[in-house]
Amino acid sequence: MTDKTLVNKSIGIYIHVPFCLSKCSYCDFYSNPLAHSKEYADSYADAVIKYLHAASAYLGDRTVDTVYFGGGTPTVLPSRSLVTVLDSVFQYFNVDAEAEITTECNPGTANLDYFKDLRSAGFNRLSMGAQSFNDNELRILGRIHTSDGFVRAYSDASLAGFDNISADLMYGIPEQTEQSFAFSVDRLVSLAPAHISSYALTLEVGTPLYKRTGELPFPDEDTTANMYSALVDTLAQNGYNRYEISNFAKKDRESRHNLRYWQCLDYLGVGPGAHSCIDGIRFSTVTSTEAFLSEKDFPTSLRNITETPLTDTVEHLTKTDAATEFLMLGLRLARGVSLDELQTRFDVSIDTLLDTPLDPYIGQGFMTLTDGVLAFTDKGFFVSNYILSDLLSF
Amino acid sequence: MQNNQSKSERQMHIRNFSIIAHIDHGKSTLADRLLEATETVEKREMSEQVLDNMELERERGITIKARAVRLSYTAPDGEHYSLNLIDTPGHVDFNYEVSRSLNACDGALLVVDATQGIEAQTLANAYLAVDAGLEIIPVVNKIDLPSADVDRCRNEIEEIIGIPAEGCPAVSAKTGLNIDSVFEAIVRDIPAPDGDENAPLKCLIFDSYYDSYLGVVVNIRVVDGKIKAGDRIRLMSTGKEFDVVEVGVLDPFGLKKTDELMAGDVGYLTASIKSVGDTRVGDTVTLADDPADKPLPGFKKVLPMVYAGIYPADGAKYGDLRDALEKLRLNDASLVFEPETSIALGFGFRCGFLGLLHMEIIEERIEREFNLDLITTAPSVIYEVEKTNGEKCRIDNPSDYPPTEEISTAYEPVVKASIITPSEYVGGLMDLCQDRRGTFIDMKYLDTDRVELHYTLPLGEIVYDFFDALKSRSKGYASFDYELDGYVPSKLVKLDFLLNGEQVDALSFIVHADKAYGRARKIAERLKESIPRQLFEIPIQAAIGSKIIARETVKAMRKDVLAKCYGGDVTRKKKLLEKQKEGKKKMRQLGSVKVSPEAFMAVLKFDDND
Repeated sequence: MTDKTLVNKSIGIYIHVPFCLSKCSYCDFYSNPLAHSKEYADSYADAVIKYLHAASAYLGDRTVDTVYFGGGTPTVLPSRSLVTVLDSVFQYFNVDAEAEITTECNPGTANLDYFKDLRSAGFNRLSMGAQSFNDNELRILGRIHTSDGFVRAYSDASLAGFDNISADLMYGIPEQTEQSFAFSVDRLVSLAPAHISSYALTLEVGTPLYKRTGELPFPDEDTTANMYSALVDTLAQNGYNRYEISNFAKKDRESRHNLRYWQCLDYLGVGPGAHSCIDGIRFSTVTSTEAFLSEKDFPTSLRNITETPLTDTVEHLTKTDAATEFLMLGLRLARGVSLDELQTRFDVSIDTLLDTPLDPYIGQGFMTLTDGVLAFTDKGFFVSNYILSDLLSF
Repeated sequence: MQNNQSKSERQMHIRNFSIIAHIDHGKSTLADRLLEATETVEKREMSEQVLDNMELERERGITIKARAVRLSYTAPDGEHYSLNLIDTPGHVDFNYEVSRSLNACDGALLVVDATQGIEAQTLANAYLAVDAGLEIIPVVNKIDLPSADVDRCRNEIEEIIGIPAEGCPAVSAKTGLNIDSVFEAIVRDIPAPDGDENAPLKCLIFDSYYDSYLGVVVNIRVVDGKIKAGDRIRLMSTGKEFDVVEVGVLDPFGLKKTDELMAGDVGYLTASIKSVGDTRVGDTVTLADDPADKPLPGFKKVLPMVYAGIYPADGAKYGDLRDALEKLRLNDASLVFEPETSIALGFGFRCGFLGLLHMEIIEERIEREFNLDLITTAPSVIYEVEKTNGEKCRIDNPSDYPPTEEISTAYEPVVKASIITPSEYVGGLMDLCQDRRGTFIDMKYLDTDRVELHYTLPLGEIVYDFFDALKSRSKGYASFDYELDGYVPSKLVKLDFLLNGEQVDALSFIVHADKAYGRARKIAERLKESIPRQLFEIPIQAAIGSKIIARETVKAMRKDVLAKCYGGDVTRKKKLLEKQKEGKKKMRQLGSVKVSPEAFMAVLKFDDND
């Protein structure tokens, strides 16, 4: 699956839609409240299409096997905007017939007709933010929908023909208890989505939630550990395989787009604030919708990218950097990292990347090394951060 | 009033005096006004508190080292006087230095805050001055404040100290009000110095400091004889000899070279001396070829009372720490240190201090002036142990404490403490002293609402933030002073701490057996709070010998996961892991357990409830 041909020849495309109806209290991703940026939203699809056209000059020979619309909230744009953008992907790129084509979608922004438009245009996967089935918790998070709203949107999407839906659930929300989280998990499982992502709420500096840290009761480390543990058990009992630390899928329903990130395969990110990694160069576009919309000449080569003012950061990854990231990201996957693949792709052996020997971690049951594949155990996943910062030399 | 028959005309125009006061009663401000009034220092040149020129001294409002300055004063009758103001340290840790400085004087201004009245330090310093045979002039200060009560203050001075205070200067050092009356009192009431200019040389050393150009600059009071450049001098306590390079007087902004210094003068000498260790405060300087028959009385070599291990927070900075200590020792003969190795903390130094304040000052100066982060172990006093085999030893490091079965009798140092407090706090303070194993001596009412308490207290109990506890129990009103009062037999034990089964030497300390359980529990709890969860469970145990007397457990880390990590996050998440790694590097590896320096310090801090 990750042989050299695929590494070189395939690509995933991420399209960032930096608009939301309103911003959630915990979110620090780049997005604009739609009410103040109506005129941007209308011309946004055009700019993305121009960008894609320019990029096809240097990526035209690649096979696109995943397309992912994220945000922001892509579905705050009219369905025709998403559809014309996807059409242009088909037009400019060589898109695999089996490609996974996803859009994120927030309940309350799309109805049955909207979903039908997407489905018939070629979208075959949805990622929907449920976050919680407790309306008080949803309010604290600043979500615009209720739990009923999510169920309604979910059934509309199913009716429109989407059978590959992922839903997000959050734990560690202020006022959340182990019981209320278990309730949310049960409600979601009863809808039987193909895929579930579940994250611990991370407090990002500067967000409205961060500013309320003092006044809100956050669950402690033991409680969130219990929540995560219960989640893993419940989902396993219901046929979901934890293939990544926070991601669970029914058979063959893993997120192929996100797998690209975790396997360090190339991706192009389009839109303000979007990140790309192509041929060992990681770059990001400036976080300004205005700048993105007013750009006339989008880069037509990787060299152009490093020279245009539209580019914010550029990192040329050394083999060691890339290999370190390969370990850091690959170990998020249950199947782990093949040390042979590490050697083949980055021409380095694992010993040169590690600060401390693996043996104690394997000996104490945090990791396994079987047939040349290094992986975290269940116990290791819980504390993977701590172990990675021990192991990896940055 | 004065017997001036034996004094020369020159001596008649000299006055040597110091200013003594309780902390905050305005000593430095008064000194500033005197300098300003004599126009020795132009007002525009003045920064606040000329005498306290160490940054730390200014901040803390205390004088750490003795210092002297010559004021040129012209009396209303046109006579010119040289007034040598010898500033004394204002803390009990430096009592010996205070007594030597006072011996260089003939009189003292006793400054009393008109709003506070007499405090423990006022009393202690006044007694030192009386012991030194000084003429004491009370000065009531801060009379500009609305709550000033000059009459009550004068009454207290007369009743408590027993010196006449009627008509003594009442001033505001802050505004300069009545400053002239202070000068008049100095000239009128303080005796001019005596001493025979033709007798063999005797100079009292009251301070010395290292200057990178001049070598050691020795501040002296010439008692008898005269001294000039080129003289070969001898230090009477050691017999060491040097050739005088320069003598002079102490101007506010530096040294002013003169031809010679004679009996009665205060000034300095330099003699290419390399170490302040050779010029101990209190020693007598005489001439090598015409020595005095005996030295001035009262010299003693000051010995450290409190010891602690000082380690660099970053083990790689050991060399920097050594350099810092060596530089500080150039100017501080009472600082002693020698290399020490701790299994837990690596390479560092065992340092001896005059007291807790001295220790804090050294720590702060190292951190500030040399930009080093430190880990300091719990301060320990010097215990004495008589072993069953008859051997006697002094223990300044808990690691050297012999096993219980080898000890026949252990002794600990005790102090005589005097506490002055408003009467409403007496109960709380007596509880505190009781709690610190104090023995009540007596209690005196100074007036209707102020009390002086006397206790014998173990020094080891005082080094654990007794002063802070005293302040908090008296809302800051009580004042405290003590002097060492020898050694008494005591039931001592060494308390050890084990993390994950391994003893952490840097956490051990010696404690009275009755206190061991309480302290052990407290510190075990604190360790539990301060040690971050790690991949495995960490048992914490407190032990006396092989007997475990308290235990706690740091539970294993449950969860440390970067929840999300997608394309846009890679760089950011990598930075997060890097940061976590950096944090771990700062931690000390104690066997298999990682502990941050902050956690370590938190454990070693004591509070009122300990």
